[in-house]
Amino acid sequence: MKIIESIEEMQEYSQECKRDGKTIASVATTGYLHDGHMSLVKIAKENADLVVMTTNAVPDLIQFSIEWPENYKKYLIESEARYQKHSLENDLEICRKHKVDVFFYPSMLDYYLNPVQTITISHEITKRLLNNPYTYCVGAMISFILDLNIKIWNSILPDIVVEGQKDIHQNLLMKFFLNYFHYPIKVIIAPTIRDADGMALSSRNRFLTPSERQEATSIYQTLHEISRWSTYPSVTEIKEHITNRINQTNGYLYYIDICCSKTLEELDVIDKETVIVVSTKFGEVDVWDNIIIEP
Amino acid sequence: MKIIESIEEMQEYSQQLKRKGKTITAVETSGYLHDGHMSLVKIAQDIENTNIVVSTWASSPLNIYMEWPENYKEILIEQESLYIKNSLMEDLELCQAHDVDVFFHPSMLDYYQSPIQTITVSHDINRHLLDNSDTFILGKSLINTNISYIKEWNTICPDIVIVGQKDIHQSVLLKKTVTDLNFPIKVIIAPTLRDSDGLAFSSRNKFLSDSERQDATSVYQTLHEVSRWFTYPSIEKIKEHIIDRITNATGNIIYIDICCAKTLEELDVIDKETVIVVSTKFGEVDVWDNIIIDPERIKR
Repeated sequence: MKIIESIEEMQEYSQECKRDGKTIASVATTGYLHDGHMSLVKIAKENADLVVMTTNAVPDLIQFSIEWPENYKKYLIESEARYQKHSLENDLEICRKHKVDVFFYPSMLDYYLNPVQTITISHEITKRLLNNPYTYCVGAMISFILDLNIKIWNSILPDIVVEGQKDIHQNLLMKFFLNYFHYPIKVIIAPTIRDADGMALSSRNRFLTPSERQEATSIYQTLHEISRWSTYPSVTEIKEHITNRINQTNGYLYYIDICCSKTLEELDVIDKETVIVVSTKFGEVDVWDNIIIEP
Repeated sequence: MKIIESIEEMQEYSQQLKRKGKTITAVETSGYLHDGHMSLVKIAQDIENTNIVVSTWASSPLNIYMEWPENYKEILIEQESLYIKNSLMEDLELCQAHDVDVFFHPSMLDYYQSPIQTITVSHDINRHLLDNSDTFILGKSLINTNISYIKEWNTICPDIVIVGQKDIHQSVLLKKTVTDLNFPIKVIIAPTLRDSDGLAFSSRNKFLSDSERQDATSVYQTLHEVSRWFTYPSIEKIKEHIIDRITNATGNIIYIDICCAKTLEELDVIDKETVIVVSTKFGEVDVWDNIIIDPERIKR
């Protein structure tokens, strides 16, 4: 496995591979890799000659600040040091084991020579996410995520990017923007990896008590049932149905979002490919899931 | 010369060239080509082992709008047919005569499937333009042009992009976008091509009457003189001087922007490489120009 730390070296290596007629698939993560990520690697390997895994030690700063503080570099250095101490060795090992070809691990200081203000998104979805206190953070960080992704795309120059269905809002948006900017990149959205009881794999699941865990499976059950319906009532009625089901448990419902899978526009009726996103809390643990339905 | 109209075909052709070990140099224009554009092509010709791509829709006429009108697709279609009727043939001939390898002319509707204000790509360095009512439209259109260029970079996949000093704000912003977002592209800013009387080349110049044309040369003359000064007074004084000179020559000032040539930050005193941008109107015709001045020159 080749380990690359410099952006220029990554760009040159990619261009060299392309001159040799090889295709590149990339899997972008924030490090702390687990089996869920490796399911993306597997799909990447099936679809391209070379797989590049990139881990970006992004600090919380990126997710929650509208304006970056002047001393933002301090935060970058800290989160990078934390990542190196706690996860880098493990990430390298798991990638070697799964035959990743290139491990691209740029310094955050190279990515953020200047604080991020270059890109702001005023897409309808951001307004919707920002207007709901529970989705505010997702909405607030979308511009940063897009900025980071553009940097990653321009560094790795992949032909294919593989994203997990788990973070569906984010991934559909990235797909929208790849399209919008005409990147010559194909997106594969990989299905969520689930346990035998249907629970979506998450590093947080281990904090659920056995009874919480059992109740939490109702989310996927509900979504799965809906995907099997032969006709769909209005979106309002679908939301009511999901709310009722979750209220029968001890779960707390943050939000349900039902939107077009291509444009992320909110829908009134289901007349095109639609994604249903449910975000809840069981005990102290966030549990979220989503399903794509085709009328 | 190869003529490409589809975005996918352009992307594939670029990949093909790169597989053959060639580089790609792009000269991105809004069509209506003239010798000024060809001076950029000439710079590209001196680059070894490169293929030259000239594109025609680097920016959209709608980019000046804060919000794109709902019927924007109709407007784009209209602009496109106007261009095809009035300039396409000449543009093709001019490019052919200058050994351009690819003439890339996509449909505007392919580029602008959704209106552009979905997303803004802006920089702090652009903010002072937006804050001033005289330069607001320029500031706004720069943001949108930035997006159009990102679309084009992803389509043409150039290794080198040649932009003109004529549109200095735009050129500096594009360079910054390339750096900030890690595009694997080298940006070359080419000097403005001038007629023997100093007037910067523009497709609009032909609409100037003889006397207007003579008056309009005052813009470059003034800028050139200022660039030769041995000491610089305050920015306010420089602006006053330029306004006096151009108003005396019957020109109308639209705006004067004096800012750092690297970052476009507004300056109070000239203590680093500085660009003076002047936008004027002579009769009905927009005439703009700029000059880069270097205070270090004085020390030498």
